[in-house]
Amino acid sequence: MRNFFDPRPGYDAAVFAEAQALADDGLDREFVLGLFPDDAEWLDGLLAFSGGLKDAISADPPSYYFEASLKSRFLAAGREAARAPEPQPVFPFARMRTVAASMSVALSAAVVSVITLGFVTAGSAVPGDWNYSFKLANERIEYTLSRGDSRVDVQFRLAEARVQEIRVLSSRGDVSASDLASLEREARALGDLARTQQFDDEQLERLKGIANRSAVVLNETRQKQPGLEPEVAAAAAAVNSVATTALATPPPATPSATVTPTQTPDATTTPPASVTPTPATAGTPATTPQATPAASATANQVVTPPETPTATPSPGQATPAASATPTP
Amino acid sequence: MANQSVDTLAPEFDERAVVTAAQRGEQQALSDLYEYYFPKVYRYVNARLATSEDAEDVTTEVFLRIIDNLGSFSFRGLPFGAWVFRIARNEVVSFVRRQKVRGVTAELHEAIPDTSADYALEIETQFTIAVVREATGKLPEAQRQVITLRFGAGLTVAETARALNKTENNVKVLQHKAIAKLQTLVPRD
Repeated sequence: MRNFFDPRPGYDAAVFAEAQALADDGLDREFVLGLFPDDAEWLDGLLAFSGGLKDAISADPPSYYFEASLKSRFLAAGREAARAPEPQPVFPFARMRTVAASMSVALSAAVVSVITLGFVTAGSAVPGDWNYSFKLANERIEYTLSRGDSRVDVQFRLAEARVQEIRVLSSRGDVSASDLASLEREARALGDLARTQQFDDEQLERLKGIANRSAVVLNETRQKQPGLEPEVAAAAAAVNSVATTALATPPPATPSATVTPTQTPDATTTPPASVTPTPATAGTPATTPQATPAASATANQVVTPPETPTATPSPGQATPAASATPTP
Repeated sequence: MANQSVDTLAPEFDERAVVTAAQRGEQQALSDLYEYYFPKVYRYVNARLATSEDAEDVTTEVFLRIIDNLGSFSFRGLPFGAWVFRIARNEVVSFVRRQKVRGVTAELHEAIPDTSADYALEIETQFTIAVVREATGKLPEAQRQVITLRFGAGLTVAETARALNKTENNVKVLQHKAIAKLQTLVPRD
C-alpha cells in the first residue's frame, strides 16, 4: 500500500540521484560519468548544471560581520535562556482542580434543572411525590406574598389542594395521618380568615364546594382506612367548623328557615337530607354510625342556609350531593 | 548505521550530545551547532530570497527562533537538523508572505560599479545568483524547496526528505524534474 503512494522514481531520476550523490561527496564529474557510461551523455548536462547551481549559491557568502554578529547574538541568547528560571512545575492537583471545577459547574446546572423541573411539575404533586416539597414551597411563597382578598383566595386554593390530594391518595388507600392533619390545618386557617372578614357569595360557594368534597373524600378514606378514624373525624370537624363559622353569618337572607330538616340518621331515605351523606352512609350505614352524622351534619350545615335563589328549591341542594355521589 | 546517518544532519559530531549540552546553555555546544548549521541555513535562505539583505534578516530570525525553542526540542520527533530546516522553511515562507502583503517587489541585485580589482568576476557571480533566484522562483513550491535544500543548504536526499517530511523517492523525482526544468529556464553560454 505504501508503494502505491510512494512510487519508485523513474530510471532517469534514480540514476541522476545516484550520480549527484557521488558528486556531492566530492568526486570529480568525469569520474562519476565514467561510472554511468550508458547515461553519460544526458547525465553530463544535468550534473554540470547542478554543479553550477551550487557554485552560484555558494558564491554569495554571508558577510563575515553578519556571521560573527549573529553568532554573538545566538550565544548571548543561549546564555539568557540557560539563566532563565525553570518553568514552574504544574501544580499536581491542577488537573483534579479542573475536573472538580467542571464537575461543580455540571452539578450546579443539574441542580438548577431539577429545581426548575420540580417547580414546573409540582402543580399536581401529592404527598410522597419527589416534587411535593416544591409544591409546598410554591404555596408558602404565594401565601407570603398575598394580602387581603388575594390571601383569602390563596387560602381557599390551599384547602382545595389538600382535599384534592387526599382524594388522590384515598383512591390508592394511601392517606396518612399527616395528610389529614394538613387538611385540618388549612381548614382552621380558613376558619381564622372567616372570623376576621366576611366572605362574599363566590367565596361561600367555594367553601361549600370544599365542604362537600371533603365530606365525600373523608368518607371514602374512612371506609378504606378505618385506622385513621380519629384523624378523619378531626379533619371533618375542622371543615365543619369553618363552614359553620362562615355560613353562620349569612348576608341578608330571604326565607332563611325554609330548610331545617336536620334529620341526619336516615339521610339515605329522605330526599333533602339524604343528599349529602351519599355513598358512605348509603352503602355501609352500620359500619360508620358515628361518622355519618358528622358528615351529614357538615352537609346539612353547608346546605342549610337558604341563601341564594338557586339554593332555595330542594333540587338545588341535591346538586352537590348528586355530583358527589358518582365520584366513588 | 544507515538509519543513524539518516537521522542526523551533523555526522561530524555527536549531535545528540551536543544538542543536549546546548539545551543546558553550554557555550561550546551552542557554538558548534551554530558553526555547523549557519552556512547551510544561510545558503538555503539566500537561494530562496531575492536579496542578501533579506537572507540576513531571515537567517537572524531563524537562529533566534532556534535558540528560543531549543529547550522544548526533543529527539522523540524530528532529527535536530530537520527541525532546524523546518524552522528555516517556515521563516522563509512567512517572510515571503509578509513581503507580498506589503506589496514589495523583490529587486534583483544590480551590479554596483566598483574600483576593486576583481570587479568583473563579482559582476558575473552576482548575475548568476540573480538568474538562479529568478529561475527557481518559477518552479513549483515543492521543487523549489528541494532545490534550495539540496544545492543551497547542501543536504543529502535523505536529509532533504526528513526536513520536508517527504519520502526519498519523492525527493529524487522532484530533484530530477527541477534540474531538468531549470536547465530550460537558465540561459547558459
